[in-house]
Amino acid sequence: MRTHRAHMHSPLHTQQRGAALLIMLVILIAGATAMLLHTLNSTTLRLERDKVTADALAQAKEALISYAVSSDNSGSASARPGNFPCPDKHAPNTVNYGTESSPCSAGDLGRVPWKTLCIAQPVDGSGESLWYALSGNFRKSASIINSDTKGTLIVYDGSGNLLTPPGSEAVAIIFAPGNAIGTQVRNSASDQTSASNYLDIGPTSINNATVNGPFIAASSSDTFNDRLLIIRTKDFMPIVEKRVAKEIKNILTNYYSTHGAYPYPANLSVCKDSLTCTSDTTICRGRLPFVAQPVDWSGSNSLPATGISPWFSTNNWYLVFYYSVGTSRLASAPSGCNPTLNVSGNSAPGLFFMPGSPLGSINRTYPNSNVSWYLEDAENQNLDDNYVTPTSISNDQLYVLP
Amino acid sequence: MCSPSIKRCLRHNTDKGFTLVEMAIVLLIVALLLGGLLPTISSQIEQQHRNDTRKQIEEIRQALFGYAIINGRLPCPTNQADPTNINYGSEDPLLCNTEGYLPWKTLGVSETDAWGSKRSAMGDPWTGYWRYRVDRNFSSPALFNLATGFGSCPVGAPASDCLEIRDSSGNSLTNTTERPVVIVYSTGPNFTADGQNASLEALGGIYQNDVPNPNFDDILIWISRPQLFNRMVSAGKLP
Repeated sequence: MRTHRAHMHSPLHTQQRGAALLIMLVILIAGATAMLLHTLNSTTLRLERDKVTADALAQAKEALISYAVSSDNSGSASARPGNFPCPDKHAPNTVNYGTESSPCSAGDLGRVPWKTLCIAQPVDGSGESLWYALSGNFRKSASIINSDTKGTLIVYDGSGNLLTPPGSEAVAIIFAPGNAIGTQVRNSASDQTSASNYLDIGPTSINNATVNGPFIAASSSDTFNDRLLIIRTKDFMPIVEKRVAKEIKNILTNYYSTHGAYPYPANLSVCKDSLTCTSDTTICRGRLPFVAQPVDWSGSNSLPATGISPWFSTNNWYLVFYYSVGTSRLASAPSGCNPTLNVSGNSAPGLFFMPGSPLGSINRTYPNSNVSWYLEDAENQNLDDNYVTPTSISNDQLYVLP
Repeated sequence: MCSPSIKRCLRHNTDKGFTLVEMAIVLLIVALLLGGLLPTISSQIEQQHRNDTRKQIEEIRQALFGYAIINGRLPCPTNQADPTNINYGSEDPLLCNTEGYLPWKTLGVSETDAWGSKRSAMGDPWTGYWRYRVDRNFSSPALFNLATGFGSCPVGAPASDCLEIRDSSGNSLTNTTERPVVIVYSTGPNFTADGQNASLEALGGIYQNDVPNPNFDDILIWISRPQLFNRMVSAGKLP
C-alpha cells in the first residue's frame, strides 16, 4: 500500500504502463482458452466417435439388407431373396477374416462379414469391427423364407422393456462393441473370436454374448458400452416383396397375353402346398395357383414356369399372394364375381396383393381363409370385388393387372 | 515537423508510446500465440478438405445409384482433355473397360475433390479430378439385370474387369465371389494415385484402400453388386 501511495504521488506515475495487468490478462486468456479447448475437444471427440459408430452401424445395416434383397446371385444354390449371410467367426488378420462362417446356428454371434458383403470393414468409434447376430429363420439353411417368415431374436432396453414386440422381432442385430471394459481382453486370436470379450452384460444381467439372445440395448455406462442396431422384417421384406411381385406380374401378364385369360385363383380354404394350390374354376379370388387352369403355366405343368426363379416355389411364395381377377379376364364367369374389380373408385381387370410381414402375434398357417392375417384394410378383407389402395395402417402392396 | 512547439510535440509522443521492451513482449506473445495456432489451423484445413472430399465422394455414390436407376447401367469414364470440347466431363462409350476420370457432367457432381483445381485449357494437369473405374458388365450398352455377374475371374476373362481392393500391406479386402462393381477415388492431398492405384491392370484391376499413412493418402470408395441391386429393386427398376 505504501508503495502504491508513493507511486500515486510520484511525478513518474505516468511511466506505469500496466505491464503486470497485460501479463495477467494473457495468462487468464491462455488458461481460459486451454480449458475451453479441453472441454470442446473431449465433447467433440465423444460426439465424433458416436457419429462414426452410428454411421458404421447404418452402413452395415444397408449392406446386410442389400445382400438379403439381391440374394440368389451370390453363387450358392440355396440362396434366395431374404436370406442373410452367417456371421464371421474368423480371427482378425487371418486369411478368411471378413468372410461369413457358413453354416451357422440359430442366433449365432460373430462379426459382420464385410468381405462377403463386399463393403469396407465397418468399424465403430473405438476402431472395433462390428459384431452381428442372425435369427435362425433367415439363415441360408432355413427351409423357407417368404413374407410369412418372422424374426426370432429378442432385445430388451436397460429397464427391461421389450424393444422387439411380437411382429417386430429382430431378424438380425448389429453390435458396436466399443472399448474393452471390465475383464474383457482382446489380445490373442482366441480372445478376438470370443464374443464375451466384445459384447457386454447389461444392467438387468442380460448378456449380449449369448448365442440366440435375448439381447440388451442399454444406455452407455462403465459396465456396458455396446450399441445395437436392429434389423426387422419391415426394413427389407417390402423390397423383397417388390422383387417377387415384379417377377410374378410379368409371368401373369405373359400368361394373359398367351392364353387370353388369367389363371383361376386357388381356393383359400384348401391351398396349403404345391399339391393343393390348384386353380379352382368356380372362384375369382384366392391364392396364386401352383397348378394353373384353364392352361397350366407355360413350359412346365406347375410353377416354376419359364421366367420365374426357382426359389419362388421352393419358398412357397405362391401361398402368400392374395389374388383376384374380374370375370372379363377369366375363361368363364364364376358366380358372385363382377366383370371388373373396383380399386379406390377405379376399375381394374385383376389384382394381387403382397401381404407384408405378419403383424403382431399373427402366425400364418395353411390352409386358412383368414384374409385379415394378410390384408389390414377392412375393405380389402371382405372377399368382394371392391378394394382400396393400402392405407397407412397397412403394410400391403397392391399390384393391378392389366 | 513538430517545430516550433517541437519540444511539446516530442514530449507528447513520448508520453503516449510503448517502450521497445513492451513492444518486444507483445510481439513475443503474438508470435507464441500464432505459432501455437498455425499447426492446428493447417491440420484443421487439411481435415476439412478430407471431410469435404468424403462428403463429395458420398454424393458421387448416390449419383451413381441415381444414374443406374434412370439408365439401367452405370456411366463409362471420361478422359476428354479439351475443356472446350462438347463432351468434356461426359462419359465416353469407348472407355467402358478401363480406368478414366469420373464423368462429372454426366452425373452432375463436383468436378474435383477438395484439393483439386479446375482445368481451363487443354494442357492443364488433372489435379484432384476423381478417378473412376466401372466393371464393363455394368456399364456396357446392354443393360444389366439381377443375373449379371463377373464372369470367370481373375485373369484372361474378357467378360469382366474383375476388380479387387487391397490394403497397404497387400491383403485383399474383397473376395472373389462378390467384387466391386464400380470404384471412385480421390488422389488425396498429394495429387498422385498411390500404391496399387498408380498402376492400371486391364483385367483383374487391383486397387488400394487404407487409412491415410505416409505412403498412401487416396480416398477410395466402391459399390458392391448387392448395394446396386438393392437400390434398383427398391426403385422398381429391377427385375
